[in-house]
Parts: sequence; structure tokens; C-alpha cells
Amino acid sequence: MYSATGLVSIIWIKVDDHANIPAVIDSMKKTGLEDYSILSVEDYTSLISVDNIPMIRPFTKVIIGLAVVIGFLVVFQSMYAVVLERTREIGILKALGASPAYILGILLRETIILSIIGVMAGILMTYGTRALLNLLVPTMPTEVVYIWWPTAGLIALVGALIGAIYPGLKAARQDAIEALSYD
Amino acid sequence: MIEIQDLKKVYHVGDVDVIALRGVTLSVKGGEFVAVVGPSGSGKSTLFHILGGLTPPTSGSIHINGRDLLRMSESERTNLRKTTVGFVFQKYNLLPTLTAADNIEIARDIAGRRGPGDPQFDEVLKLLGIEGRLHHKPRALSGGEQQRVAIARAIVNHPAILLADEPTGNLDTENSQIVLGLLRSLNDRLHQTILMITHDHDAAAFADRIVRMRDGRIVD
Repeated sequence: MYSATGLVSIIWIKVDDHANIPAVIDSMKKTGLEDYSILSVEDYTSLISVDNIPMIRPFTKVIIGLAVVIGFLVVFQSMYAVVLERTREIGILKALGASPAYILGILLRETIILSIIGVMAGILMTYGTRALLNLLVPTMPTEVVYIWWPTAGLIALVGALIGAIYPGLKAARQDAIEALSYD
Repeated sequence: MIEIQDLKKVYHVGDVDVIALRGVTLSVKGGEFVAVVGPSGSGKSTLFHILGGLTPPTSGSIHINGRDLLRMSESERTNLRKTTVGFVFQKYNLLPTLTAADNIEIARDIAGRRGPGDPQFDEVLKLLGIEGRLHHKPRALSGGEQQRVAIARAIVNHPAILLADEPTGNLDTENSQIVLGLLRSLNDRLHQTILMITHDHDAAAFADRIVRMRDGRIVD
């Protein structure tokens, strides 16, 4: 851990009472150990927390931000492709007398259902990923952050809706003859 | 029923004007079955697209049941397709993810006719011979069956006019005869006004009257 193989790097001392820790540390320092770092377990673990690693919090936020943007773009792009593939079907609906609002309504209902299914599948996959991580790297602690579920769900839904509305509006307003000849 | 006077249609393709109709005059009575024949590029499809409100004409006049299509807005033409005109296409154009029944039902839904079925229409389904195939998706139906479903969808809202654009173009001889016989029956029994585009003179013979087009004009 400290790259000091064969040397003593850390000594753990068990104190009879938690309240005696400051007194024990003081008395140890007075016995010639003032050049050594003597810490309580709380102080020691706080040294390896994210608060003591410079820039780790902004770095984490950047990674989360990137994941959110990439997730949004993937959902947007997928819905865009799905709607574009259905241009001919939209042309058929137009020939049957469907208004742009009717066509958009169908697309948005489908998008919402697809998004809900996608979010549920994503949540289930979270547990699958955690089980896999626990199997492959048992020492690495993992945590499911439930507070992210509604946020992630909202990102997926908004991304999908924007991804569907743009080509949906375009297709619903498109000339029916052109839409019917789309392959 | 349909009164067309000096109808012209010009498409603008880039900087080029393509004249599709050069002054078509035609009158169709209610309950008539008219076949429109002519070579490719003669303007048959353009005439149908205008009649069906899919594209506006450039000039002339066109009245369906007294309503002037030239003065119609986009939403009025959408309404025309919903209530007055039914389309049958060469490629059937059924929605692949829906069953035959749902393909017919969606036309009712678009027209705002939700609710219980239409007993009179059940008779039409029997006439079309598809009442046993309604729960199949288009991919499980033969070409002839798909076209019969498309005919059912086109007439489910009792349109004043049925426009059939090469309805037998993708069918073999046997299925062509079945579909043409059904169009004839719909005209005879229900007095459905039908306009049918076809290249096939044998198919045109099923109609009451044959109109010939060439170079954007009616020649006969």
C-alpha cells in the first residue's frame, strides 16, 4: 500500500475507550514520538476521503456531466433514426387524413412508452453491472445511488421527446406524396 | 359529383418547371366507375393526387360534391381525405406493425369514428372475403389479401369517392381479377364512385367508362 515492502509503515493501537483517544495520542507524542504521525481512525480515514484529494470533486462532476450529455445525445439520435425510418408510414397516415397533431400524438405516445421501458431496463442493468463488478472485483465497494433514478429517467425522457419531436414535426409537415415514396 | 375544368399543375423542380397537367376537363357522376388509362408521365397520378387533396392544383377548377379544392387550405384538404376520399395504392401501403383489423380501425380513428363497429361494414368485409384474416399482420397476408384490406380501409368511412392507383399493379392475374371483381361489386352494390388508374386495358374494361390521358391532357 505504501510501497515500503519489508518495513513497518503503520501500527494500529486499540484503545480501551473511544473517549481516551486524544489523551492516548498526547501521551504517545510526549514519549519521543513527536516526529511520527499519530492519528485517530477518524482523522486517518478522512485523509483518504475525496475531500482531501485535490480536484477530485470537479473531476467527478465533469465525468457525470459528460455521461449525461452523451446519454442525451444517444437517446436523441436513436429516436431521430426511429422516426426517420417511419417516414413512409407517416405518409400513409397523411393519405388517410391524419393531421400533423394526430401524427405527432402517436409518435410522442410511443416515445414515452419506449423511454419508460428503456429507463426500467437501465435500472435492471444497474443491478446486473453491480453483481458483475462484485464478482470480478470483490474489494471494490459499489453503491446504487437511488436519487439518480428520477434524474436519469428525466434525461432519457427529455432526450427521447426532443429526438422524436424534431423529425416527427418535419415528417408530419412533409408533403404526403414525398413521404409515401420514401424507402 | 366531380367537376374538373381546365385543371393545370406545374411542379417546380429546382429552377425547372415540370408541367404535369396541361388543362384537364372531366366530369364524373356519383356512382360511376371510371378507369383512367395512359402511359407513364401522362399525368394520371398527378390528377389523382389533386383529387385526393394530397397536392393543390396550380390553376383551373376542381369541385367535389360542390366543394372547390382550389380554395381549400391544407387542413381542409386533410379533412377531405378523412371524410370524402379513400385511397387504394399499388403497393397496398398497409402499416406493417398493425394487424389487418387495426389497419382498418386506424382509418376510423383518424376520422374520429371511435366506438362500436359498423354492422354494414361487417357485410363489406364478408364481400371482400377477409373477415377470417383480420388478425394477421400484412406480412402474413398474400398480395391479394393485402390489397383487399387496403380497399376495406379505404371505404371504412364511407367516402364519396374511392381513388384506386394501379390497384392490380403488384398482383398476379388471378388476384387482379378478384380485386377488380370486388371493385365492380362495390360499385354495383353500394354505388361507390370509383376512379381507377391503370395501365392494363383488361382492368380498365371492368369500369363503366374509360378516360385516356396523354401528355397531361385527356385525349379520349
